[in-house]
Amino acid sequence: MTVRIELTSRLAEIAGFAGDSLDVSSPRTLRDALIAVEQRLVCGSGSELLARGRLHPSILVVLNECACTRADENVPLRGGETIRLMLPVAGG
Amino acid sequence: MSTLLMEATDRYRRQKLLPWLDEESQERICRSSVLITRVGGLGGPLAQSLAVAGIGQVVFFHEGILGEEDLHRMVLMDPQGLGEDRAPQAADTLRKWGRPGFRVNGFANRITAQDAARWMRECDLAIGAAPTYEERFLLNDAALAAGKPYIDAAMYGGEVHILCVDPGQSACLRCLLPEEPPWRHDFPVLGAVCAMTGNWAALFALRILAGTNQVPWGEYLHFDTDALKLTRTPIPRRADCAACANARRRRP
Repeated sequence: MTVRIELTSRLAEIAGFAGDSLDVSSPRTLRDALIAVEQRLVCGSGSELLARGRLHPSILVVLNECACTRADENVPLRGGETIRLMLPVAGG
Repeated sequence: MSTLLMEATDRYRRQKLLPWLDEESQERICRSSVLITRVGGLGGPLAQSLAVAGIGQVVFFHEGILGEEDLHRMVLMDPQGLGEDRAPQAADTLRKWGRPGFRVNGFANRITAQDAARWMRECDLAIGAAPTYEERFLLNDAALAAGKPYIDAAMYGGEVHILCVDPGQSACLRCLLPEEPPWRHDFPVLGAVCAMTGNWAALFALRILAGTNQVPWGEYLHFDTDALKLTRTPIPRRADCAACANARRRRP
């Protein structure tokens, strides 16, 4: 079983990837999914999206259409769920 | 019948066919003032839509000189005005579209905290349409301090972003962005996406000014025009938000 991780366009552009998946056959939490993303960012072109080793606080983490805060990161994940990472934009 | 209403009856008859916009609502719009930071690719169509809908006053701050690269999206500017201040050009264009008695106060400087505080005493609503977080945070904070609504509008490439803030009730821009995100000045931009974003903000502004509560308060609206995907994400208020934790609620 997997959960899908999606990045919105601007975020994907900086990160260098548009999405990922996480195996949740064994218990996984939202924090586990975010760690997987953070590890990809450290190794790739998206290190500016990290602050103090973790996803930048401006990145909105949305699990099943609900915005999550750091307090929600111990939520267990279930197969088929989608985590969206959204970076609010600036331009006009 | 007031002169204002007589004028509104003629010019705005078609929009008063909308279920949420009756004669009383139109009068409210005609008496309203809005403060906007920047009237470029996004703020320009936004301001123009407010003007043609009959708003009473637009106050805006927009620094800078008109350049060739602005002409593909800044519809309030004059193509003959290259090399000149943008603000007077935008003000002149807006005045042509407003109703008799419509007022425009356009300032050719970047908005300051003092500007925002001064004008939020007079204006009913603030809209951030600037490509800088500094200006958007500033306007968010000033609107909340005044107990007035704030609409945050932005775009980047094919992405659209809108957040409507109800002071003291919904999440604000600082709840959404506790720290300023990574930002690139030369953002990719198409006039059509700018105009769409600005007009969404104008629509919500007009609904607020008309007195309806049919506004997605505190929801982060994100529209990906490439994937044609719209998401609405309620944003939780931060109990320790420096801007909105103690904000006054708006008057009904």
